Amino acid sequence: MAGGMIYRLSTDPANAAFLDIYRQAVGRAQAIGDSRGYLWHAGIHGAPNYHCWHHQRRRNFPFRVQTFLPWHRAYLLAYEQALRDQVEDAAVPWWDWSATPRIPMAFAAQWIGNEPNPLFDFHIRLTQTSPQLNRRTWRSPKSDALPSRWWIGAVLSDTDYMSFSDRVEDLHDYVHWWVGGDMGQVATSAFDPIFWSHHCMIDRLWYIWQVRHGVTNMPAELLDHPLEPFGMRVRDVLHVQALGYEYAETVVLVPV
Amino acid sequence: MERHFCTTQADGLSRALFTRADLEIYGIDHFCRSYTARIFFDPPADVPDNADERHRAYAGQFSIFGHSECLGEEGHCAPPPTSERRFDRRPSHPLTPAFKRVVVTDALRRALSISTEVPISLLVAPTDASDEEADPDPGACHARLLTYKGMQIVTFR
Repeated sequence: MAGGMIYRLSTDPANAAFLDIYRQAVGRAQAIGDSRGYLWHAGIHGAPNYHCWHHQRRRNFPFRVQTFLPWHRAYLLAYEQALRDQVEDAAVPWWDWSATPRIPMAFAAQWIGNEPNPLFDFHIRLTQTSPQLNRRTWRSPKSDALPSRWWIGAVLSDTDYMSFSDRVEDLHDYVHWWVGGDMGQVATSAFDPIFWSHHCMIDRLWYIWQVRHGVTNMPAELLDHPLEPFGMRVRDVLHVQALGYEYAETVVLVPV
Repeated sequence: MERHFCTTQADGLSRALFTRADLEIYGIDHFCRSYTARIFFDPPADVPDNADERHRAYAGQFSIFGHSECLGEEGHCAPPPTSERRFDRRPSHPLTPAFKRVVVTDALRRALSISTEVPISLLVAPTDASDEEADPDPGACHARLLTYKGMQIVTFR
């Protein structure tokens, strides 16, 4: 991006140029089987490495470890940087389920012209699992409604971090259930390209909550909790600007 | 549709002044398929299978992001007992039972205006039948979806 800061935009079709760059980057990453590629990064979450943080605890920790939000922020960042190794201006788009109450068009089309759309699905090839996986990802969206602005607003109005974290995680779980298929399973959800845009929206909600209620608003005991395998701690991911990104509605270059 | 029902004697709640009430469900097994559970403060006979947020006794919902089938070798998906080793700082098993909280403030007030005994019905909506047919990795995980250790209503002021 022109000024160096990454601006994440939405999956709205009006952001076609932004989405094209993202699609190119994902396509290149999907073609790489080693630690630079899509398969490797997706495999951090569930199968085969299971680093994702949802309900785990830590020994000697005084209460439930609410690191769902910081862990996924660090995860999204690592993935985005890997994509930028492929296409410099790539950034993850967020899927606002309240504004787009269906699979976004960019992810729903199986073909882009004569080429397969890398945002539609991904061919999982895992030999470390039992049974081994060698198939394409699949979805099965429900007829129920996706989260509404009212639901999101109610969650954002919560002033307590622990309560907010629980409620936004539940909202997150609901969308995983809604999309269904691989997105409905912890083990394989991150292989579906829509996973990243779903979590980008979750991260954006945390960002909006931080703007309203305080960037460092969380129990101090969580701050030094490690976020594996990213080499970061919770305190390292509180300020999105310090991580080099922001959430924007539009970015329009001004010719000079 | 999977159904669960319990009641709670809310004598203490009816006297409490509260600005917020949470229904907390703990020790939830999240190994199986994902599902959404809708909560109603009504007896089961008054909650049809298709009841949703428009039902007069609707209290809220929670969802579980399940692990579905096990993709590891034998023992992979069986959470071991909590380690007693002093220097074992690793996070617990990914299948550590889950905790959910649902804000039920308005629904609880409505229920308490009727009776101090609050009936709690849960309707659990699993993946669609079409999901099961389309699933390329069908596992043996078809047990009762919602299993949990306990539930409590907590109020705040």
